[in-house]
Amino acid sequence: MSGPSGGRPPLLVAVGLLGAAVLVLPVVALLVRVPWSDVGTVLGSTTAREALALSLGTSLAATAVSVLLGVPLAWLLASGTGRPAAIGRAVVLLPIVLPPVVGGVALLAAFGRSGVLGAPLEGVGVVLPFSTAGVVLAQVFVAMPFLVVTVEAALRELDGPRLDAAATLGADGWRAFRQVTLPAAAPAVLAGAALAWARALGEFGATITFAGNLPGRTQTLPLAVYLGAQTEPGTALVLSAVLVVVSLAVLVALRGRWLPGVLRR
Amino acid sequence: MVGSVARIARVVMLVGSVLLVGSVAACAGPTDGSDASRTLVVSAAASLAEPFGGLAADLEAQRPGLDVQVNLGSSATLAAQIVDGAPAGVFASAAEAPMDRVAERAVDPRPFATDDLVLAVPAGNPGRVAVTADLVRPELRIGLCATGVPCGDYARNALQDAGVTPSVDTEEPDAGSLLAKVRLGELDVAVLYRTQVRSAGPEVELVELSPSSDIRAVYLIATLRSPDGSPPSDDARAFVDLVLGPGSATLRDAGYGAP
Repeated sequence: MSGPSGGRPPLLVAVGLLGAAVLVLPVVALLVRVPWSDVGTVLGSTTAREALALSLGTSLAATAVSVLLGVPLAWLLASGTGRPAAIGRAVVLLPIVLPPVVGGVALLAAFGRSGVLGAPLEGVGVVLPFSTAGVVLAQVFVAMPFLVVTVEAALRELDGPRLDAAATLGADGWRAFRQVTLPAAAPAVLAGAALAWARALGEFGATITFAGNLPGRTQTLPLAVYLGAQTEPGTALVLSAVLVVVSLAVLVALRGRWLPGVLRR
Repeated sequence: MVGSVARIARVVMLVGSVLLVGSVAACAGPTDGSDASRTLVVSAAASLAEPFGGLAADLEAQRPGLDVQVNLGSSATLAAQIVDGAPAGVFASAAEAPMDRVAERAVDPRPFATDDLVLAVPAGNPGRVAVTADLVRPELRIGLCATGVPCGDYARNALQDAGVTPSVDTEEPDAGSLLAKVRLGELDVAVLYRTQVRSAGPEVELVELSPSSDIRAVYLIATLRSPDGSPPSDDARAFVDLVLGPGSATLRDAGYGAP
């Protein structure tokens, strides 16, 4: 055993363990109930294959969009000061605390048929609700804030002197961003991207509200789990286990490589 | 080291048992005092929202201290919850299959209403839907309930009878969420229950299936044994008696047919 455990108050340890049980027990119970002998059959079924492929494709696309839009947004927030930056930060955080269903309703209000942007978009042939692109949009809405928060925290920590030095050496803003800021923030970008990807993979509420549910087009893994739970509990359990394993893998990978550097402070 | 582990284990058991006793007491509380406030959970198909809300209020008025909570969802979801031990006292299902699934807990299921299917379109009928065969038009945004959900299975049967294979854009988890998407104008047409569309307000219009379909939804109701096998409560029986007896007038007014 490492560290002096004698100094820990037993009550605190006990309550802490109880807390751990609340978090761990349901997942363990889920894994116990999975009909492991059926895994091959379930994963071979069209429903599961389509949902898996769709989930992988859309969540990776959502991660890419989140990085492309989120890193500049994080930089904007990190370099901003005063009230506008504070307000901007709060607005960006909103989708994290908002119930995803509300996010879905908001997306319909914006991109739905009678939405502010939806009507003009439909005029030029772009229809997002009930489409795979709509799934990606819903995932970006809920997942990008995780990337922005992670990257922004890292950018704020970057030492000013290094940027000043770059400026003195004649690097313009764009070059300083590309050659100094970005490489230094790379671990945070990777960590943020992984968090965003995990969140996008698990997205349910905004997706079913905004993009509906159609196998092969908008039925991602979480939607297949939800609908399968009603009629084919075995399928739902196997697909749930897939999500658990993938999410765990992300956490384990992050823990060793990037998360400590980002979350230590 | 061993001593501290034992001490920790003792505290864990102490805290655990305190929590357990607390929660058991909280559960036992309402049932032993007969006049104390008590709750009846009625798990009902989402399409029954309107009439069951009224009937729940009627029963609460008749029985002081009783709080009737109507838990709405797709009959398939509700059945899964009941099998998993949900504390429901009554189950009203939009089809036979979900009621069969809860056979271990359901006592004497009875049909109490019927409904038929119609096309629901947003106000003004922007997709100009006139006949069932319009559902093959690819430019229309079409919604059905998912397979395995009663409203979805009925709709597919009706469409199959009409020889129509629709180009579906979404398969919604229950009748309520399907109606919501029509109401928002996001869908051009959905196959839904007549009573639901009738009570949906001015944002939704009704188009008859044509040719008409003889597919009818048959609603069943039953009292439920508790998860540990004890018989249905008096309140649960009173609610079912209300639905099968005087409450049937409320159901007819809402447009449901007699079984």
